[in-house]
Amino acid sequence: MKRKVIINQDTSNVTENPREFSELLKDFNSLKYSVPANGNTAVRYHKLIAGLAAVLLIGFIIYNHNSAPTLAEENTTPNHSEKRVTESNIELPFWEAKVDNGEETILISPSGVVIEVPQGAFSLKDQGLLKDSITLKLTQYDDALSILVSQIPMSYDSAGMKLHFQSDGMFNLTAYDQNNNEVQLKKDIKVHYPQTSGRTNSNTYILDNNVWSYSEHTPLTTYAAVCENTVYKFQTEENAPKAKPILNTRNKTIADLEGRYEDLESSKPLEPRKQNLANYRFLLDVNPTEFPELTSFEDVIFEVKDSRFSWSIYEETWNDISVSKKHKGGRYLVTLKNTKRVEIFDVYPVLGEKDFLDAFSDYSTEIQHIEEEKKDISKRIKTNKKREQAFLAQLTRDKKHLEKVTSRKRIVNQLTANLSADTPYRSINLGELGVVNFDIGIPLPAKGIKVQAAFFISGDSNSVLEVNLINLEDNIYYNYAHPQFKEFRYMRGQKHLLVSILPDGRIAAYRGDLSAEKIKRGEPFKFELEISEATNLDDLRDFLGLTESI
Amino acid sequence: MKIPIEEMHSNQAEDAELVAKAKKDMKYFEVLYRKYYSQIFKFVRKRVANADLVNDITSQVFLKAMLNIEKYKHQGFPFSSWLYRIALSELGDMFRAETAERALKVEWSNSADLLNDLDESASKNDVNQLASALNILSEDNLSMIEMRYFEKVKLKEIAVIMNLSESNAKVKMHRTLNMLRKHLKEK
Repeated sequence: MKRKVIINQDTSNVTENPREFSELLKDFNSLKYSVPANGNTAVRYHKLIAGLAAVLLIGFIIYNHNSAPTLAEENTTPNHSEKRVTESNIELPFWEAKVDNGEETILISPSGVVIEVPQGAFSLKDQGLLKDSITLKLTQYDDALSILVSQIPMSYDSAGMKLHFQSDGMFNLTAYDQNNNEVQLKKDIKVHYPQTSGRTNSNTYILDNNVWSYSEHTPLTTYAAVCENTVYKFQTEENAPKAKPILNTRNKTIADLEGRYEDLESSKPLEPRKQNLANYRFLLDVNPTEFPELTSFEDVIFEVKDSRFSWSIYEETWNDISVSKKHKGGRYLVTLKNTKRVEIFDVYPVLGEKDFLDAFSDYSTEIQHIEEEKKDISKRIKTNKKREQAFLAQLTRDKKHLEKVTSRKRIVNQLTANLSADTPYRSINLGELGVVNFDIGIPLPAKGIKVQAAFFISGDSNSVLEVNLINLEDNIYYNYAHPQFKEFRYMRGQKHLLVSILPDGRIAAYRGDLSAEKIKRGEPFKFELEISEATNLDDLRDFLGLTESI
Repeated sequence: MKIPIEEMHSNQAEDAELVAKAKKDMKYFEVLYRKYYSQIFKFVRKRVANADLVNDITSQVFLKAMLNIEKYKHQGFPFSSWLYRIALSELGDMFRAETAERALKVEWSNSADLLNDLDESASKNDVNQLASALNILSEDNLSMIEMRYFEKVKLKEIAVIMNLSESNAKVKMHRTLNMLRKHLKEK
């Protein structure tokens, strides 16, 4: 419908005349729980309120069993409310999952919705990256009834024409931190949503919560054939980049080097000692095979450093005198035996002046070589140990990587199974959390049976301010708000429901026969709505006689 | 009439606090109502030809804001930009439904920049042709031109009010100007 434009009309003489805020507040309170916040309707309400007492107004719009239901007197176009604020008592099921914000995560809900969450996807407003775990909450509205009770708007303004959504599925995605604060998206997340209706021509809409209206969103991919490619974008064990392990050849070398180090330590030559003429001593022949370290000494003198030794030992006759090593470090034992006793003394080899100088020079050179080799070996051991640590860290990373890949493989398998069941998937990138709607926008039905109707609540005086005609086959509902709801159209042969959400949140529905034989074209019909006390979707479905999901 | 942009930036923190309070108790909304009524009134008056509806529509904008306040999230933009957005939506609905008539002020004094951008001369005849060309635009496109050229609102602010990204607003503006150019050439 084209607007009428008046060029250059002077309206500057219109002066401000704001309503008292208390009046506005009254309107707010009366509208909040009853009627749609539709612009035109509300302006009319304002005028009515200005002219009539609120009681009279309520009386005017209320239908109840005491007053005869009013039938339509004029043809009016049904109007879908843009925002209804009455909340139904029906709690809708949802699914929650924990996400570690520090890691990339792929979630798959029991209903098959796949959500790809990149690392660091969430943040609190005006704050940096959240390190906590995040709870992601997914609520799905996959039939007209759940959409209706959610009270999420289902109309879209397309170039001035109001279109009603025929749903191919809708969901609401929200996220909270550990303190239950709502968090925002810092990075896009990707959602793959199964399209249960099997239709392939719906569009994607995002609900702007601020103005409670939709904007169209371009999906990444739409249907199974395309989605299959999307699915294979997930890494599988086969196509995942393989971590290159560091070959652990050095591990053995470390042991070798450590052995060599030990050998060098134990094969250190004995440090030559110069003789002290004040000490007791023995001049003994030693077996060079048994004591190779003493071969460089021409005459081996063993000095005694033992308080038990005295000159009398020399005067005594010993049948057997032998030398043995006591321990490392150049200490030896001299064992003296005769028929009466055995004496063992701690001794050490010493050299005469000339021999000592030569031997000490040789000793120093050899020790220097050994220390140099030990230093080199230590360095190599250190380097190799570093390599070993790097290798072990790589092994840990590989293991983690493999676990992730395996997990993805599992998801791929599940998705593939879903796809093999011919479920089309729709993939979208979301920059903001909220309501996403897969729908076809269609105008109000121009065909079908036109019914003049009145609605009232059975058995009490509850008002019926609006009704919703649900077409179960097309998965769509039309909202008829007062006063337009006096007339509507429905399709012969298709299953419909007439449902109202009362101001107190309870659901009222017409449970009588809606067949074309019963309700005839043009003939006025009174619909008596029954109230359900259901608080969940299953009970409501039972009440409405829906034995299976619509 | 120019949207007082400087006011749009005034004390956002104070507004955010009032909104938070109003979400709990609507009586706190009165401060916002008093603070922004005049701005929204002038915005509406500029666009509505029916003098008797201007105050009603302005009130309606605030009523709608009250009904939707739960959904409002402060996203770094002035609260008034949200009110302007609601006002545009409200006006669009009314014009479509012919509940109100659209006023459009196209005079030589405010059209020079637009005509210049359209490569048109600024004669009186051109101004008349421009008015007729503007009439063919959709309400969204007309509002955008109106704000940009007649009210001298920055494109960035227009994008916020119209819930568009700045780059999308630029594209939309570019296309609208092309549309006008084409229409004026055909004339």
